[in-house]
Amino acid sequence: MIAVYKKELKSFFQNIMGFVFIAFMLLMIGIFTIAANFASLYPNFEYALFSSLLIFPFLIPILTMRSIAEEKRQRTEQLLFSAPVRISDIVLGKYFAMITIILIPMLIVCTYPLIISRYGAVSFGPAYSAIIAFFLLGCALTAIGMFVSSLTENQIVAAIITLALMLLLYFMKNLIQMMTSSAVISLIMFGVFAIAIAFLVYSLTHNIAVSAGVGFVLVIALVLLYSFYPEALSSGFITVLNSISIFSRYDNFYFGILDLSSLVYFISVAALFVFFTIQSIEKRRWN
Amino acid sequence: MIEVKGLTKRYGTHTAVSDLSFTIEDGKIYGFLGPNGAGKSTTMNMITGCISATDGEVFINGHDIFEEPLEAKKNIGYLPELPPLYTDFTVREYLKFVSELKKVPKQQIKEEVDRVITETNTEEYADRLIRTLSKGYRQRVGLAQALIGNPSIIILDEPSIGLDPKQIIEMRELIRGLGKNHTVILSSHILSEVSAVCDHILIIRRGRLVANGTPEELEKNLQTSSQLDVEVIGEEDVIRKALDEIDATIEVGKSEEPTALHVILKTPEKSDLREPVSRALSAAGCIILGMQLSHASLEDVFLELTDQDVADVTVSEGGEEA
Repeated sequence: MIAVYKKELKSFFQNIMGFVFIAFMLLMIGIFTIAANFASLYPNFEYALFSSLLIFPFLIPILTMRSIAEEKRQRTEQLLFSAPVRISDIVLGKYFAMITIILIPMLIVCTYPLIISRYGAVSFGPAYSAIIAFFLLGCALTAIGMFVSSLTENQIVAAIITLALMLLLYFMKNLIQMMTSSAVISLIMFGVFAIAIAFLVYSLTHNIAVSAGVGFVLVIALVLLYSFYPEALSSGFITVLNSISIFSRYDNFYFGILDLSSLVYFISVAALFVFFTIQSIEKRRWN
Repeated sequence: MIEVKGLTKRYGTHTAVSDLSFTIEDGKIYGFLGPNGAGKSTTMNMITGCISATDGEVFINGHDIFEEPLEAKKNIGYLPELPPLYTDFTVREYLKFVSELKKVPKQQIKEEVDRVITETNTEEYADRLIRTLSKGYRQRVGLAQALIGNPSIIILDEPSIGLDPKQIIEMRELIRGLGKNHTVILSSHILSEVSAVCDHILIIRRGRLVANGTPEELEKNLQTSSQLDVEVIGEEDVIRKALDEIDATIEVGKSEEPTALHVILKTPEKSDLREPVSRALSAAGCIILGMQLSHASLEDVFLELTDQDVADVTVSEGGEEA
């Protein structure tokens, strides 16, 4: 794991990607800090980070697009697979290297509340818990990006899909507000989900009968649920959207609350997608 | 030592490798020969644990590659068809990474990297970015990577593909040198390449092992044909009549000698017809100017197997059409 970690970190700084990433992240957080703290005269650093959340949809794809896709395209994965290391070690090494690239600017950002405190009364608790939340949110998003990268051989495809996903997650809050919660809409949306799952099953198994069966059973279950317990569906879709709206998990930190459940949520998402990445690579080897 | 038992790989309905079984003994150079798409790379990827098998077992020095991959992989150095190089790194940095990946003890890494650089003659380029290297040197760096950790088995997939003739000769020399201290398996679709360096040849065709033996054994055991070319002075009828008793297909044609005829006798199995032919022709009063006996070479054996491949394909295609 350490070998892969060192190599990944090295290659980030070998082709200036790492420097550009760190510089851009610091630049954007700096701009938002000036806007929120120095121009608007708020002593709350968590406000600056709240605005800075917008950089994630654009930065995460740049960070993660190459991670697995490029190994596949260059066939260097064969070196990793034939070496006496576990797939999990390879994936974790890569993941921790990317996390380190986020951690470096975040450590620099840790000095910002101190700088702001020279000009006003900063409450350090909320400021630093916001930094931790911001970093962990970045970790979770990185894991999602890495998983997307493991699905394709083309880093540009990986970048675009990750960007789209990140933007969707970022604007999820607004989407939820726009949505009216009625049982019919939920039924349609869950139906779309069910079909999407069926397609996913097909892409994994290439078995039309099984995937059509899965889609059919899900749709039938939904229709039955709709006809007997429509109230269960009425707010169901909104609940689901809320639970995957990862960016809204930062909101409590904006209000100065140290929300441990959100931190656990970020770590769980990260762990889940690292696990998915390992599975996705293993699956490719078994095909 | 590698033991392969009933190795099978299916992609959906397509069978890439089918029920392959063989044993690789220590200290020899093995050639894995077959036309393109025969399943050579798939087999090598399975032996090295890069991909899984649908069925079957592979034991590397007694360790099952699928059950105890970490133990098994320690014994293997693998150069895939496309050398797995990180082109942003210098040769030395890259080899250092591979050493760490292969868990070479820290204090030995520098020594190990220097050793493989010397062994593959890449000293000159050791501090250059891999991106700037030519195909031949990239291949050498790929080989250097396989040698890191001094594994007992070296597996090379098409090691001389894309190299120029001079580089091919150098690569052969390198492989021969490796054969002294390692078990080497190399794959190729070019017979001359395999017969030039290998002690033992495995011929694979459409995912199945069709021949297994030393080059000499293959030539001897496989159904090979003989051909006898004779230059005779005499009438064609007389010659044909004289050779009537001999069990061979006979062709009579013009010879380069103005007065003589060129007679070709072919037998499906290996045989030496010189004596009976000579006697028969002498008895008929013909004068023999020259005789030349030739047996099928390894090339012919390989071509025959490949031809069968073509024939099989045509048959199955015809079947589908019908």
